[in-house]
Amino acid sequence: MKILPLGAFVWTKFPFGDPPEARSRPGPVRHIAYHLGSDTGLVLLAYTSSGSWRGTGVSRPPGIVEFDVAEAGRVNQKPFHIDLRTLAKVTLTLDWFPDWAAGGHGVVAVAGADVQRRVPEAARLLGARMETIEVRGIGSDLTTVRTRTERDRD
Amino acid sequence: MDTRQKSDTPGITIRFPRGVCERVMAVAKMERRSTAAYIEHLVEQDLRRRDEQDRVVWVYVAADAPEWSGSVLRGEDETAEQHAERTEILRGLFGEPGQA
Repeated sequence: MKILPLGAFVWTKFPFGDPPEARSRPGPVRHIAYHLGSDTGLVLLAYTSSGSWRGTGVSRPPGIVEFDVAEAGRVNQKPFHIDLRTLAKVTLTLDWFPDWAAGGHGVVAVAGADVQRRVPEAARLLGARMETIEVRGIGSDLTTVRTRTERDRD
Repeated sequence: MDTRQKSDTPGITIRFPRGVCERVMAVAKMERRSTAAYIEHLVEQDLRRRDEQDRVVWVYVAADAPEWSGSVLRGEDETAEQHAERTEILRGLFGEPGQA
């Protein structure tokens, strides 16, 4: 396998660690992420978390894609959700994909066509509704915030 | 009619294991805050983070990541139309080429 299949659930070192300086380096523990797309050597990932979404708001925010028992079972997992509000742009190396050299390359399952349709649709809605996209990486000094203007949203 | 007014700053009692309690008090002292003010500060920080999650998309970028060309490889079962749409969506979230 030279590239990750689209829609793969794969073991990664997702960079969600604190403090912020750690967000450009592999995270402290292995974590399953969802593969949104790749370019040569570059992989775009979304964060996943076990169980249903646990928020304090009155409704589920855009960008959360939930999988119940049956849906999660189809991709060999317990109920979980994809959080498209937490993304990562990483390289296809052992530092980021600790099982890449092993059989199966750390791919737990590959999403079926229905999930591969649901995720981009949720991402499209998220992109249209979010006020801010914050890019954090390569050290805490490089934080770029792209804020949509009213005109962009129209 | 109940004429009692609700306080603007209702109090709660928190019980910590002794070790945690001692550490909380030590940190509060180090930061020159009261223990209550330190705990309030922590709670406010967490609430701000939760509010932020509902309006911000975070993109973490690897220190060793090359600049993204703005294109993605086409999936095995993906039509040209689906591929174009996915690419457009990802550009919206991860940024156009040349954009940080």
